[in-house]
Amino acid sequence: MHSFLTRGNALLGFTLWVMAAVTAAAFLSTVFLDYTTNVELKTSDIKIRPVVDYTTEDETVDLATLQFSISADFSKLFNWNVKQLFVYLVAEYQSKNNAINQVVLWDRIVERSERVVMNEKNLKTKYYFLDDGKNLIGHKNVTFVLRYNVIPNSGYLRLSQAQGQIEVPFPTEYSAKSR
Amino acid sequence: MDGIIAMLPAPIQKLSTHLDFRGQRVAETTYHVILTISGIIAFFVGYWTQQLSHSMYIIMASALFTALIILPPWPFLFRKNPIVWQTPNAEEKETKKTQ
Repeated sequence: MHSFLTRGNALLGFTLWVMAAVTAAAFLSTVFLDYTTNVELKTSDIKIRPVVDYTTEDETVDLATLQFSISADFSKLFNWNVKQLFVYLVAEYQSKNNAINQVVLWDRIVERSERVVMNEKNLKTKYYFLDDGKNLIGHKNVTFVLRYNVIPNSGYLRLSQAQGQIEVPFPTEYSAKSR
Repeated sequence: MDGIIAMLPAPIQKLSTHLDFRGQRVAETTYHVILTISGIIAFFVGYWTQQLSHSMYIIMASALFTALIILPPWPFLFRKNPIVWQTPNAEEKETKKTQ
């Protein structure tokens, strides 16, 4: 504290310490809040095609294409410790070899603003819905779930799930022949 | 850092920035108190406006304000209790000469 530079150093160090403390307090003030929301999911136009894949024994695998609608209000998830959400749609189903299969079909980054409402009609999937066998055809119960990561300013990356998952039976016939 | 100081022009190098011992304690207490209080205020303002950036700006602004107070060696704050050195004895001078 005797010279200009040691005073500057001490001041800078303590300033950063206070910033860290306030940031940690911001995390503590938001960690116990409710980060769930409701979503209304709808799927339409589900088609299943056999796709040639020589890496499997069956030689063809099921590729599903579909359209979906999302209606959700994310406004209440945002607070001063939430930077953005990473929202993604997952299809989950059981097959003969795997107790659970999870396929991410679509994702989107949702940034903070006053009112965050997602109302999307007839979206197409961003990623292939490809099974590792012929398990999608005639599947009775494929579950669609909307999940999201809450990306904070400080703290941990929270994973949450919107209430309102849907269970969809898949068509029993292929929409096109294998090529 | 000493190398950088050595590159500065001579008039700036000659500037004295020291505080006396009591002044150093006062300066340290000053920035502790101001920044701790501003941190508490910053938390509540940020919580009220729901913007973490507002908290950070308040802390940075009060750090700049504190820098204005404690960085310059203000004579009326930090140099009120200078050390009074004893004058060297005449004997010591003689012993030095003999060596």
